[in-house]
Amino acid sequence: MSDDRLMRAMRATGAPRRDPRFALLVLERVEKERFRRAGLRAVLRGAGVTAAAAAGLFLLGVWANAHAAAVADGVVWAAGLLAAAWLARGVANRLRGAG
Amino acid sequence: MPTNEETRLIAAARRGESRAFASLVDANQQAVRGFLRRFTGDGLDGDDLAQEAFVTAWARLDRFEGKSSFRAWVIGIGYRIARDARRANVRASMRDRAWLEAQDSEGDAPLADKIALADAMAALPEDQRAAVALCLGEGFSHGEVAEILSMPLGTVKSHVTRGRVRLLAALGETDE
Repeated sequence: MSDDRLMRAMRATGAPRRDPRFALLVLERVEKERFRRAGLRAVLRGAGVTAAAAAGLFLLGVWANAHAAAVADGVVWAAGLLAAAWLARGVANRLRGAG
Repeated sequence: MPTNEETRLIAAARRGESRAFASLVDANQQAVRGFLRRFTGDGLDGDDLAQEAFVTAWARLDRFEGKSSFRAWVIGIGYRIARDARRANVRASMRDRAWLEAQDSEGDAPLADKIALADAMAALPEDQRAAVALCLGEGFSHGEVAEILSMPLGTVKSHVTRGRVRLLAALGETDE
């Protein structure tokens, strides 16, 4: 008798009827969580790319600073090559026009 | 151990099928909500924690090893969330008994018994309350409760025995 009363009161204070809205509310929270995670992943990916680019530029700067003479030579050579290519193209166009 | 149907739904939910996860929620909501209502002593708080437990379960679905039923696993998650948030204790002082009157539960009992039981449950130590709610409220075996609550079997048995005596005393009954 005593256990019956306890079990009856137990059943009446907890187990609710099945609520069809409950699953919908859970799915709504799941979708919000999915969206939040996707946003977080995108932010982290962006931060990673930015950090990698910044680190690359920094290392390039450090290297260029340590090899200033070589960089300057490289820049002069590159400018010379570009100028030569530009002149060669101009000459070639003239010759084609004369022909 | 999960049933075949449950295993199929879990696999589908892991692949991202919302409908499969909704079926899992629907099939287990009563037990999870029932336990958390009894544990927190509050209908709304219990349901809110139950939602949180299911969302956490969704996020950790890959970690479900199938050693217990899905229901037991989610209840374990809900128990840890409720315990960590300490909502049961914080809310104890402002606990409203109105939800007991409007309780949409299955089964019937006099309101005085429901209130006496809810008060006695709230007065039990946290671990004891959880063990009693699972064993006497949800019908889990001592072994299952030990697994859900991560407690030794002997501790669970002792919690349930002591808790039952205190609940009976609150109802004005004696243990026979």
